[in-house]
Amino acid sequence: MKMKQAILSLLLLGMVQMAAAQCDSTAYHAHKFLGNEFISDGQTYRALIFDDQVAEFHTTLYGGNTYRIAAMAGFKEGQLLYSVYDQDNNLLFTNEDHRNISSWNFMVDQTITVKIEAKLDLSKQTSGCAVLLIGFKR
Amino acid sequence: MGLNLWKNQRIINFTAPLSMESMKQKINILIALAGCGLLLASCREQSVKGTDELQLEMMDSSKTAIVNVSGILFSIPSPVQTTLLVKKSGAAYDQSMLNNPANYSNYSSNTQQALNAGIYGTDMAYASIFDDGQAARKAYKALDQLAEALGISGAVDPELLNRIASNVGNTDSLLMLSGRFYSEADSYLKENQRYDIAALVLTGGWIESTYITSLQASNGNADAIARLAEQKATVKTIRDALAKTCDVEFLKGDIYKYIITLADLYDKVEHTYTYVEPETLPEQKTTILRSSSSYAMSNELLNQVSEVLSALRNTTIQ
Repeated sequence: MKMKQAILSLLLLGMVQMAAAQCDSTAYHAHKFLGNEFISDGQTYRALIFDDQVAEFHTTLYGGNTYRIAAMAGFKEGQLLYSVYDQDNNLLFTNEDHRNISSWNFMVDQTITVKIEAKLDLSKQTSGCAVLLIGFKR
Repeated sequence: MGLNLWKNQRIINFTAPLSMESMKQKINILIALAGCGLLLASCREQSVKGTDELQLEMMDSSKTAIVNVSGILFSIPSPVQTTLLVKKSGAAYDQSMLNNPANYSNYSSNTQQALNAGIYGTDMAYASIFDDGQAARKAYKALDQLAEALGISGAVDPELLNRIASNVGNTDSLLMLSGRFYSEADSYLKENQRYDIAALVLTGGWIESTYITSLQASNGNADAIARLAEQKATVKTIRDALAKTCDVEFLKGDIYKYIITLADLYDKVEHTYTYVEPETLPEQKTTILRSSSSYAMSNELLNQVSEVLSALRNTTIQ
């Protein structure tokens, strides 16, 4: 019984390590989408998601600025679907309308708090590390 | 301001102890294996709780299920961005307000080191934006020492560190590279479940940039007043994130008390919002967000916020 538990633990540890490595690699790759125009906000938004799970977080976008959101789940583009909503849950943007594009720019007239949701395109993968980056244009 | 994951038909609570026996009774071994992998991996990414603190709770299938990761993932606007606004608003540079770079050696606890790593990062950006390369270089050296003490430096690409050091006088490059530095540090800290340190670094950066903004706001700078008022959501994010990631000792301390006081004061900031349909320009891969919003604070509130911010910042750099 103890042997089984040990094997199970090793398997789980291996899965954890693989998942963490996947997140790191994805984050590194996602940075390329910010390019040289956009300064990272200094944070990496990452979550392991499975099947129809949705990752969500809120952020403030300051008026008079242009932002870029880069979103990846793995190394191929188009594997992560993401949408941006305002505080009243009005849909402001979804990359599903643009062939799951990995990065998009947002020009902000007035300061706004938004909710960003991300989920996997299940036709392409059923699990993965979702990484979102936010950059702002100087 | 947290991250939530949800999935139909079950709630996974990351805050209570995991019961393997309970799991075995509820799901077969294959699902348990996959589920544990999911949970452990997710925990490693998002939660400060250890693997022995997880609990998989099966719920009524009729309920919408949420994977609650305790709001560990949160977003704080870049302090660099706020600092840029200070210059854009026409404010004068004031080197005397920077945290003394020599103070870094006074910071012996990880909490102090993390908070002041954020503060020196903002000082570096502030000095660089105002073309004070010498002050930026000193702030960078202090930041570098604290990053070393926190074990962050070894996790960041050495080439990136070299580029930061050699671009201290080049504002555009420095801002770009420092954003990347903080992002890599943030990634490393989350990877190693040091969510408290990650939150404190971000908090330090926010304290400094907001303090700089408040100095300008107190001088009647309209842009600075507006930006200060716009921190309404962010200060609550910080309060909640620290509550979920930091230890009891920190939460009983003066710094956290000041943050709670600030959050309470910000409840009085008046906020209005009106949705306006955004305009999307597919060829430019751009969406223009046209909704209108406003944040307003009275002079009395501005003074109160500035006073608390000053006390918070001074306590942090002590």
